[in-house]
Amino acid sequence: MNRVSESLDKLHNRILSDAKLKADETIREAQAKADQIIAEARQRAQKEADELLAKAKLEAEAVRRSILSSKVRANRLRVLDEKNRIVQEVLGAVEERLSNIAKSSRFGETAQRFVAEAVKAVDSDQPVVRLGFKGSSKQNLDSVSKVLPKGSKLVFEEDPVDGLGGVVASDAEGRIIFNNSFRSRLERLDSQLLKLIASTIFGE
Amino acid sequence: MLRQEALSSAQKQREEILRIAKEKAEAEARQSDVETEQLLKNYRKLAEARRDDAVSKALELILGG
Repeated sequence: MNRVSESLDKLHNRILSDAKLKADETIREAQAKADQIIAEARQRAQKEADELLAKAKLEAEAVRRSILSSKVRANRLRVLDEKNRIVQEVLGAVEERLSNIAKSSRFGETAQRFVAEAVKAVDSDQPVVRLGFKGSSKQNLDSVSKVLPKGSKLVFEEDPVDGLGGVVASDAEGRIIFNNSFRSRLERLDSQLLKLIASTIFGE
Repeated sequence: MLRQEALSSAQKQREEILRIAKEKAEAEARQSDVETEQLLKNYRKLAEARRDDAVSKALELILGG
């Protein structure tokens, strides 16, 4: 009877021991599985966070560029406006000097040269030359007639030609016209003048 | 929970990155204004000093050209 009881105890103990081993293994496996799930979840979350931060860096660069590019553009415009204002101011002074050229010592020589150029450009036997300068008189323009070919007609305008003064020559029929007024010369030399003034003032 | 914590932290970092970028860009923009003001000042000084020379050269070109 005792022997049967001992055997049953041993069996009972072995069953318990086996069950404990089995339970421990199941727990270890479950723990490993849980650790793996957590690690994967952590990895996924980290990846998402990294993507969000990478996107934020791109957004930051875009914000920076947007703020700076509009400012740089605005400042470039301010500089261009100022340079343009300065060049226009110089051109204004040039026009002022041109319109008062009749008072300068080189007036006679300049008027003669302008007339000669215009007559040559028209290339007519009977050119008509109109000239008018602010503050000039018929007397101080008399020297001009020296450079005119025979058959020419000289017309003294009361007002300065084209506002600033100058010379306009045409053939007798008015079909060929050469405008040698200061205004016209300013327009013809526009780009050269702008470059000259800018390089003199800004050194560029 | 893990995801929420990671994203919440990343979101905070994102806001900080954007704030710093904006502040830095605004500081650079202010610096650009200062440099532009200095450039305009220099141009005005140059114009004052070289204006007569520029007028003379322009007159030479118009009258001679």
